[in-house]
Order: sequence, then C-alpha cells, then structure tokens
Amino acid sequence: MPYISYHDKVIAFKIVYYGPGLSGKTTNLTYIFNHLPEELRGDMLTLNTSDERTLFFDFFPLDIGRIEGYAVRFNMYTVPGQVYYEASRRLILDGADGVAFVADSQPFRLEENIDSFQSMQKNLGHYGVDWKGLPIVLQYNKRDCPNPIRIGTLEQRLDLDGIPVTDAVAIQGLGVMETIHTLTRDVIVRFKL
Amino acid sequence: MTLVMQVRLSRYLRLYDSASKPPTGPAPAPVLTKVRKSWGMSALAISKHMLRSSITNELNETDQKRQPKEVLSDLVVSCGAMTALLITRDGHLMSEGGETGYLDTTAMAALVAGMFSATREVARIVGEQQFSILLQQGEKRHIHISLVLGSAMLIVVFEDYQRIGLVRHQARKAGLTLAELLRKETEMTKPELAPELSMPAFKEYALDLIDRIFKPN
Ligand SMILES: Nc1nc2c(ncn2[C@@H]2O[C@H](COP(=O)(O)OP(=O)(O)OP(=O)(O)O)[C@@H](O)[C@H]2O)c(=O)[nH]1
Ligand SMILES: [Mg+2]
Repeated sequence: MPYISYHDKVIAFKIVYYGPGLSGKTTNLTYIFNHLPEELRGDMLTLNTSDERTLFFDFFPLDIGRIEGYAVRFNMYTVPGQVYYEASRRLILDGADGVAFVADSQPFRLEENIDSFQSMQKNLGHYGVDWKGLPIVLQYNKRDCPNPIRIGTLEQRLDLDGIPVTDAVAIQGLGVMETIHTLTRDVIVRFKL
Repeated sequence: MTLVMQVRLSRYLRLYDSASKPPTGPAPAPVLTKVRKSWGMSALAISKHMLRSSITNELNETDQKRQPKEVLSDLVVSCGAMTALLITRDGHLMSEGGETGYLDTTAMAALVAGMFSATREVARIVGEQQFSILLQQGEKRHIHISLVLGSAMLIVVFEDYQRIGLVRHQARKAGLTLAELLRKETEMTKPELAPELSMPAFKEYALDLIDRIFKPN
C-alpha cells in the first residue's frame, strides 16, 4: 500500500532494489539518479561500509509530477546484499510497493541469487505480503560477464512463471531504465485505493 | 550500524546551517498547573495518570479540530525547539512545524525511519517490545524521537539541552493529540477523503508520465 495523504495531496510508492551482494543494486539506483532531470529528484543518500558496500540502504525520492492534484512520488531504495545484513534487508522491505530483483548473471553466483530471492519471499511473508501479489521485475544484471547464466534459469529454479524479466549491464546503463520503467508501470497498473 | 546513522544524521543537522535562529526567550510554564487542584491531592500525588487525564481533557476541548501542522508549530513554540516533524514509520514526511529551511526533511524522514526501525529490532533482541523514545544528544543540536500510535514518529530538533524535560513532556502531549488526529483520518472512508480522485484517469496520467520519464528515446 502506498502512502497517501489526502490532506497534503501526496501519493508515495516505495520501490526496493533487492538481490544478492554485489549484484549491482546501487549501480542501478545511481544510474537512474544521474539520468533523471534534476527537478524530479531529491538528494541521494548512501549508507555505506568503508569499502563502498551498502550498509543499510541507498535512497532518493523521485517526483514524477502532479496528477489530479496529487503529487506522485516514488521513494527509491536499495537493500544491503551481504548475507550478514538480513535484518536490515527485512526492515527496508517493509511497505514495498514494488521490487526490482537484481540478479548477478555470473555462473558462480547462481545459488546466491536463489538464496536471495527466497529470503525476499520469506521477508515479505514476515509482513504478511504474498510476493505473488506484488509487482516484481527480475533483472539479470552483468550480462557482460563470461558465460552468463541463461535467462530463464532463475524462473525455472524458483518457479516464477510469468514474472517480467529484463537483462542489463548496469555499469553501462543498459537495461536499467527498462527495468524501472517496467516496474513502475506495473505498480501503477495494480494500484488500488 | 546505528553509530554510523547517528553520525550521518548529525551531519545532516549541521550541514544546512542557516542564518535563521531558533525561537529564543523563556520557555513557557509547564502544563502541570492545569491539573485541577480541587481534587484535593497533594502536589506529590499529582501522578502520571492525572497528568494524562488532564491532557485528555484538553484534547477533547480544543485539539480535535486542529491539523497536524498546527500541533507541530505549537509544539516547537511550547518547548523552544527548532523543528518538529511528523513522519510515517516507513519514512514519509507527513507534516512539519518550526524552522525547516536548514535541513533536508525528506532525507531526514527516510533516515530516522530507518534508524527507528533498526532500534525496534534491537529492542526485540533484548526482550523489549520497542523503545518508545530515542534521544540523540549532539554538541549543539539534539533530537528527540517518539512513537505516535506505532505507525508514525514525532521528531523534535532542539538546541538547549537543559530543556530536555520540557521537550519530552510537550512531545508526549503533542503525540497524544497527533495520535487522535491520525486515528480520525484512518477512520474516514477513502471516497470521503478523496472524492476527486478518479482511478482510471489517475492511472492514465501516471503511466503517461512514467513513459516520458523512463522511456529510451
Ligand atoms: N561487469 C559488470 N560489473 C557490474 C555491473 N553492475 C555492477 N557492476 C559492478 O559490481 C560491483 C558491485 O556493484 P554494486 O552496485 O555496488 O552492488 P550492490 O548490489 O549494491 O552490492 P551491496 O551493496 O553489497 O549489496 C561494482 O564494482 C560495480 O561496478 C555490470 O553490469 N557488469
Ligand atoms: Mg549496494
């Protein structure tokens, strides 16, 4: 459920980038941030460890404009991917209206992708959310790596029939906008008062 | 983890230092005087529950028709604070009072929500339901954060640490009023609140905006 203030006329959706450590979540968010017109976005916050890994979250607000008198905003978050930070991941996921799952296409990361997706399912369940009812886009990132895992592998292993899938090379910006475009569209289409 | 958050937060508070000074001057008298003396209790017996009942009385009379913004502005004045913010548990800014030009309120809301949720987990780990108040003491500025209804948080930024007792007291009082206002808003039905919001039109416009923002050209 998005945050709605009828009094101040604001509707805000929460978008969360989820996925295993180093899969490229922060890279996705940073690219989007850098390629939006300045007047649409607020400052970006990053809470990092000393070696640039996400410690708690990255965040920036994106104002798409005013519709029917309501200011419509997407609050964009990434979770920390390192296994160690499971508790923080769960907190960030609270209230998500849509999830971009950033998978790492390097073959040796396959099991980590699967573990991470399953942890997301479990964490959503913790908030009483059935992941099947939530807009999710599966992004296969790092398509530039040698022998990337075949698209379809994760859907098959995780039984994700019909989930929207994109492929990306986030460091080059490829597929990044397509992913967020697909996701935010789905969030709006499924929005109910 | 929380340590880093604190450092960042305090940086946020200082980063945006502006020329504007917080309201100074004497703090108003504490509200204890409003407890009815006719109940014949000694001052010592003026207990928490009496304080609370006096607050509830006040609520019923005046505060019910007010907007959160007014409650926050009054709170700032009543305890000589700089700023008061009301945010949701998941980091949306709902309302603000006092001086806000010196801080990035959106970032502040996202950070405090994260901080508070982390603290809630920490509370659970040590066997508490949650910590209802978080206090961040800085060198110049301090932050008092309290829960409102479990779904929102009230943040007060203040400079004079001597006033912590007053801040705490006024924040609790404002918290009760705000809780009442929030409860009423959630009770109202949605069509009642937003008669003008037509879903099909809303979606059409929103999708159009999204297409324009994200579509590769
Ligand atoms: N080759 C390649 N490297 C990428 C790609 N996307 C991101 N990277 C690199 O992968 C590393 C990790 O990227 P991040 O965006 O920080 O990963 P993250 O998912 O935010 O990691 P955590 O915060 O630890 O969860 C960085 O060195 C990126 O430059 C990609 O598409 N291809
Ligand atoms: Mg990251």
